[in-house]
Amino acid sequence: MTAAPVLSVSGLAIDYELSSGGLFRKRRSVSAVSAVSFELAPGETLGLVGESGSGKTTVGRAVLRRIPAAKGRIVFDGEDITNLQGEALRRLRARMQIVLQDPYTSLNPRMKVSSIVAEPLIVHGLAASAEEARTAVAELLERVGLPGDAADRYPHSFSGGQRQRIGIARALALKPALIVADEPVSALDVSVRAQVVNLMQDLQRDLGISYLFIAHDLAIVRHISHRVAIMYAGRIVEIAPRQAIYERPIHPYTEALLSAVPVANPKLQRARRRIVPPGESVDIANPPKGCRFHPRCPLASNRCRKEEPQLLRKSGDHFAACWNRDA
Amino acid sequence: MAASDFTASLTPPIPATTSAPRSAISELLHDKAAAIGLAFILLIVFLALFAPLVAPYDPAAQSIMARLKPPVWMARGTWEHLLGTDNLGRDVLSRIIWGARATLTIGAVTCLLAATLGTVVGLWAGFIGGRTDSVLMRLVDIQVSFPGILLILLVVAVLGPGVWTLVAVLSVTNWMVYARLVRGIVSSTRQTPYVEAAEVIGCRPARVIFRHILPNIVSPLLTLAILEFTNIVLAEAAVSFLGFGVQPPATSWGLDVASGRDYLFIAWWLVTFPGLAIVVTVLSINLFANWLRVTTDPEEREKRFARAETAKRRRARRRVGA
Repeated sequence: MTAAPVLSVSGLAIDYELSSGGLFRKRRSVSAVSAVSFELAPGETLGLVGESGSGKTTVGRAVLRRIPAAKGRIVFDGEDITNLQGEALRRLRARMQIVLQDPYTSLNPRMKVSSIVAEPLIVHGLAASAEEARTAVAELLERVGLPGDAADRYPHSFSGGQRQRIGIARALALKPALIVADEPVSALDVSVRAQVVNLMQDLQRDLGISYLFIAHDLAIVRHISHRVAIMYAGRIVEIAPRQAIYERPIHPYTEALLSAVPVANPKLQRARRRIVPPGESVDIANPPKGCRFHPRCPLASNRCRKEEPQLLRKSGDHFAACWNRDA
Repeated sequence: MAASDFTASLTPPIPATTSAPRSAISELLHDKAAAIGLAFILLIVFLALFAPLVAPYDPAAQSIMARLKPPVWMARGTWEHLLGTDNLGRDVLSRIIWGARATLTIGAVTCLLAATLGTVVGLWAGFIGGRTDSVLMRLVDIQVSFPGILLILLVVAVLGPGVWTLVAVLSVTNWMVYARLVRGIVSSTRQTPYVEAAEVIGCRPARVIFRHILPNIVSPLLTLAILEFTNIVLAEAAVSFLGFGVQPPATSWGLDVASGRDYLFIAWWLVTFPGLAIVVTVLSINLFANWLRVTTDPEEREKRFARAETAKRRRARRRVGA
């Protein structure tokens, strides 16, 4: 990564309030994410993987400034956006966009596709006339592979994959440098997933967009990502180029995660050893002391029970947070 | 399975484009119930507007000779009084035509004012949330727990009775139900992904409210307003019955129903006809509003269109088969 990063997150921590502290109650909060740091180069895709509740969506929302950060810094395009407010924040929105998970609820049912896709242009004053907006919408719809007459229809007449394309067109309208894709294909049919992922890759190649690709499907992440970050219980436990993660995982959690992905070849699948970490996922309200993975980790030592490991360079671009493993 | 394995490039079939929904009028004529409803509403509004020209008698003209005449089709009925006369010999039909004025004005204006006030408060509370929400909703609770009729009597006693006083007072005692409904829907709509998308795009709060939230709460709001219309008509009747609402010689349907009650056993028509007028009006509004609700919802509208098309084709096929 020689170019200056589009996005650089350092030491990010996010707390969720359990009770909002009314008149008589004390404010209680739980740390959802902490000590999350990563960088994202222009035109790069970082896959953010983890099980439900690991905090991956929370990180995506914090990057978009939808959730306030309790600690840490978010630098976008050389500008510290951690505390941006009001109009400046609104203008920032033009350069970072989101693609949401559920294409069925992410489009306003009472707006025509043309209004949905043109809305970003209108609110940022980028379309001088209705004519100009219409041309821009037509281009965007063609870009994401939707039929020309789509503009005059309502979202309900489209399939899930097509709706997701509309969502992508809406995100593209402002020519953003970064798109946070929050499980963009997990609600789609398997047959349509590849199409949408390929579309996203084509757009990246042509427009140089960076993606923060949040997912739990490891096969999809392997297909689209340049680098992959694995999250567990609000921490990044391993971050490395795709090849390294999938072929030489360091963290025991990553190993377990990868071993859970079935292989298409039944012979190979039977020969594989599945690593099933015992126990339940961590309750982030009462995390264990030391390494958060230690109650389920086959390698857990005394040190793991006492001290929390930091994310350290194990080799080249390969970082992992584990006391007992080195590359 | 690697992602590159499933590059199945099955293009999802594009649903056949439905032809553009027809003009509103032909669409309305297709829904017979709604068309009849609208026709009735227009008829009643017309009667109310042109009451002096349409009504056969002065609604306040008394005639002791023609007391308690039954409607024309009954044994003692006469063509002079189609729907009979009341205990003072006043023509029931004329009273209904004149009464439409007060009833419609009070019902419609009160519904509009109360709905506007309630919606604004509900939107405000639901959209901002937090402490603002708590404070506003406690205000609603206080107002709800305060007996409405007492407030009405207090205000009317101070300001003096009259149609506009009544409208104001009824609005003030009826907005809370809208505030609660709207607040509930808004605070859940606020969490929907399309509202989040709108905010991430950079929409200002006003745009989010008016373009994304408000259009999606129109249906329940419309339904509630119509249910409330009946309530308002009855509340107006109650207040008028107590002598604090519409003042004689002016009249309203509610007032007629209320004052006709004393003669229920000897002259059923005094209560029945104004009561029927209320029922028919509310029913007409309901039928029309149901159509309106479907028409303003793109998905429902296309479904209705599709159903009509299928029915038409089925009929055509049957005709060919016969």
